[in-house]
Amino acid sequence: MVRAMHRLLLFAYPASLRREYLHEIQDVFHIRLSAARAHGLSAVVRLCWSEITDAAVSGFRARRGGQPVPSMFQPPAPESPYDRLLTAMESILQDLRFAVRTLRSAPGFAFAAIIVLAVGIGATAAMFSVIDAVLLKPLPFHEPDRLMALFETNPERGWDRAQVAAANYLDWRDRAETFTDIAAHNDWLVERTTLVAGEPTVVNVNEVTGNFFRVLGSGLILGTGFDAGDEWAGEERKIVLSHAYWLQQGGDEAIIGRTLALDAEPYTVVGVAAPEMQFPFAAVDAWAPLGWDPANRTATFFRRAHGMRAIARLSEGTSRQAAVSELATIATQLQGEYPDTNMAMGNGAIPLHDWIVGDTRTPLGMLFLAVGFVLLIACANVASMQLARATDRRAEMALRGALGAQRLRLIRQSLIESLVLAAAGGAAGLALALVGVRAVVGLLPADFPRMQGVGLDWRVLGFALAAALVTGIAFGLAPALRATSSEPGVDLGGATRGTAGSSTRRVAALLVAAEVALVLPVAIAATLMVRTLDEIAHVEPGFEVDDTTVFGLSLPRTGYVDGESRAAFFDELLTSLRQLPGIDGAGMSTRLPFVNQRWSSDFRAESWAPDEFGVGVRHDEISRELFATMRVPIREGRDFERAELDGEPVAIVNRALADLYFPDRSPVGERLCFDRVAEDCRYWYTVVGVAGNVRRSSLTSEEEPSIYGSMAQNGSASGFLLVRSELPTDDVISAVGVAVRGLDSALPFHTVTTMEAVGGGSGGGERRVSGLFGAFALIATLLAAFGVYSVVAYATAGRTREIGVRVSLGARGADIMRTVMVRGMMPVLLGVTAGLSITLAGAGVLSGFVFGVAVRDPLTYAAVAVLLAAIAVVACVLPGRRAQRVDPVEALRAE
Amino acid sequence: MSSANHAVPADFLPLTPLSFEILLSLADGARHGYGIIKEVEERSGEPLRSSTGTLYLAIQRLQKNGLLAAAEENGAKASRGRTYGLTRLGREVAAAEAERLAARVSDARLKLLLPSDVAPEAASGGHD
Repeated sequence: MVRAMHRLLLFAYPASLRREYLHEIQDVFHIRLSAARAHGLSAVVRLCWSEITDAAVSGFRARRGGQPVPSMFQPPAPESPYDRLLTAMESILQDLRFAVRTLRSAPGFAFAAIIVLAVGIGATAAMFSVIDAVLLKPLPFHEPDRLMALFETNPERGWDRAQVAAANYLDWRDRAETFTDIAAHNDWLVERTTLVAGEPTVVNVNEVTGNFFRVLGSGLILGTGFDAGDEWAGEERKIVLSHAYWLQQGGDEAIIGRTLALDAEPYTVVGVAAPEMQFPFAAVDAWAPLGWDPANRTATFFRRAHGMRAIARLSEGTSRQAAVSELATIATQLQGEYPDTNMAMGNGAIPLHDWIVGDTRTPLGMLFLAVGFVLLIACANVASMQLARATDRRAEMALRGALGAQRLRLIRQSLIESLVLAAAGGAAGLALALVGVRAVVGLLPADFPRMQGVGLDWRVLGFALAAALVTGIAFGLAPALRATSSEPGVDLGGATRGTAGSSTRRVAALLVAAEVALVLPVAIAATLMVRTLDEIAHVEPGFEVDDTTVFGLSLPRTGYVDGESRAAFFDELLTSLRQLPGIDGAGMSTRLPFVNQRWSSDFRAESWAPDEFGVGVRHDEISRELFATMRVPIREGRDFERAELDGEPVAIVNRALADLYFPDRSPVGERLCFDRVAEDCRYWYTVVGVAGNVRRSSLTSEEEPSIYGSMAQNGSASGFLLVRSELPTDDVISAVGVAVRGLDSALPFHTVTTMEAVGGGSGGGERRVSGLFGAFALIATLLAAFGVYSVVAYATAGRTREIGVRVSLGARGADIMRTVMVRGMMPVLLGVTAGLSITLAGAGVLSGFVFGVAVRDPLTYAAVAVLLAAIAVVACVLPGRRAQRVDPVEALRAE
Repeated sequence: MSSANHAVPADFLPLTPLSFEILLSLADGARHGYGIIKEVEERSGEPLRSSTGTLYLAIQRLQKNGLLAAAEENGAKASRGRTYGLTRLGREVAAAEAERLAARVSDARLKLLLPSDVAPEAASGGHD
């Protein structure tokens, strides 16, 4: 690395030198480098410094055919533009050297400033790398701007961006002319089982249409992929592997054409996707065609089951507007053609990037704003430190001015010093960002999109560099102007030595006010989020989350061909588990609270009038004793029973449904069906019980009306096994493993987790975002407190003489303290007022992140303001104490 | 090279400080590139400030003007085991530059910038 960089440096020298001596120069440099290493870091830095600067100056000079070495004996030839450039370079190098020397002579200041800047730049760079990967980088598809996500809407059912019914999708594909093509995929992953080295393992498959890869324009690195029309069942089952899964299986390039057995069915591998192709889910292992039966095309359920997502590629030169209105026209046609299923059914399209990024814009934007505030505070901090130093150095600057230095040169010198600080801060900040990025990624919700692309790359590097440059100028300019705006007569006369001028004080006070004003929004947002977490922690989920281990189980279609065999397997498994010592309960559910998407259906009761129906109730399937395992109370009636396996279909409803649809009577004994129209009903479910409400979507959402069907009666093939036990989780896992293998040695189980982790996933988004906010708020507060302290301490130290005079004139300690406090706290109070106004004005953006407290909650605002003011008081008291101890004799003699 | 042989030492004066240091370091025998640096650093008691590339620029120039000659060491790969030694001309130029500098030092003594007695190092050396 060093060697390569050194090699690059040598390009500064003429080619003839490199031709003759390249290897020798490199060898000698290496010996010098290792000799310098033996002398420690500073020797290495000095060597590298001289290599770089010397190469820049004498290398270019020699290229021009001039002197090999700048020499005071032989002044350069008459000025050419090139010479002027060289002179400018030399003088800038000189300034750089001078800046480094100056900073080394004030190590305390330099260290503090670099740390403050590193925190600011590091936090900003870390956040930027996340924003860059999620929001800014284009999607890894061909011409991604032409890709749109299509969805269905139904105002009557409250559907907004709903999944698409397959038959509607096919009609769009056939009729739309504004798109080159439309693809679709199932909005979930199917878990299939394959044997890897004899062990059953899970393969997560996404089922897609044949044109899926062509529409995305996502490259396959191997193979030719699917053909158009492959979504219809054919003789051959095809599969495309994800890059990660292919590598995991050995990364053999000869895999194309080979057969992979999923659930003991043969699939032909027709492609391997490019590494960046992780769509629609990061967890996807492979894609397979949907394999629809052609007879489905006219089936009602094909138009009624909304489970797909559609992606379309706009035709060249077509506007999104035109596409949206064409889709709307088709939706209206379909409403007329299929009134039973498509009543009130509309559709819409948005750019695919917006679809994938979704709701992340707001939290990311807010976090970036917060981190930007931190950077601004850091800048203000360093600016006020610089300002204090500038006042100290006015005599030096005045002297240099008197000796003939131009003001512009002095300003440049001062700015270069700031830039050196900013560069050092930026470098340290990048090191912090390296750690910070991992922390931020760890703190963001696990299902955050596009996180795999997050990392430090040249874009982040460029950003940090730009941030350092801008901050260097931002915090350097005012002090530079300040330090050089001197009148030699005054500043050298000594009359003002050690006293900050009134305009400097004003600038310093404004900086303090700005810091405080910037801290308030961040601190208030963080506090509101912490209070939100507290509120969420007190929400009753409707079940007990502790002591519950969760397993995913999926029965292969081969071997468990019918519902009876699947029901028998699960029943046997649950029975054997319940008999184990230490196991307090076991049950199954097709979907987990908080994790899985809601499935909703319309329904009707047999006793209702023909035009009555219920809309959009949640529909899950569960085993008996699931409620007992989750500690959900049965309010009325009873749980499912083993005896009803072959009997009439039964269902349990929750209390929310009972209250909403059967307010004046018990729903037990009612017969329900999942359709609006009685004539369409094939199955009628008799309600046997009413269970307590369970918050299923998230802790912060309302309890939804739900109907639970019996897994055993419906013969479901996969679901989640919940086991309640006070045993350690590892013991539970091995006990379940033994029980599962005892029944079927080829069955894998996966997604082992605990209900607590699942519960943590809900409100997890809020928790993680607020964790980041809390961290930023803490940093901002510490920086601002430090800023207040350093400004007040400096101003007080500058008034030592004045204080000495006042003490000798009889001022008491309390008077001194009061003066210090008033001067210190005035800008703080100004900042608090400004900060509160800013926060009140912008509080609206917080509404999506706050639960159970108002975004303009007066108590929170007041508490944060008071806390900040209290911290500022402490920051003022310390220098005030010191001022009280001023010995008037010493203070006066010092002048 | 023939033109260099006819050159007079005075044509090369004054030398740049780096060139003089290089010639000086080779006065007591040939050295490798790094040997030159080490000798200069030991003598001056501080690290050499020139970059390696600049050092070789000077070596290239001195060699071209016939003040230095390079010798390949047996068996070593070309350019790696190279040592540099003074040519007769190089020795003369170095001596001329040293005389020139010595004259300047005497001037400084006359103007009382330096103490006029013998340098302490030389004095103590004489008594030993």
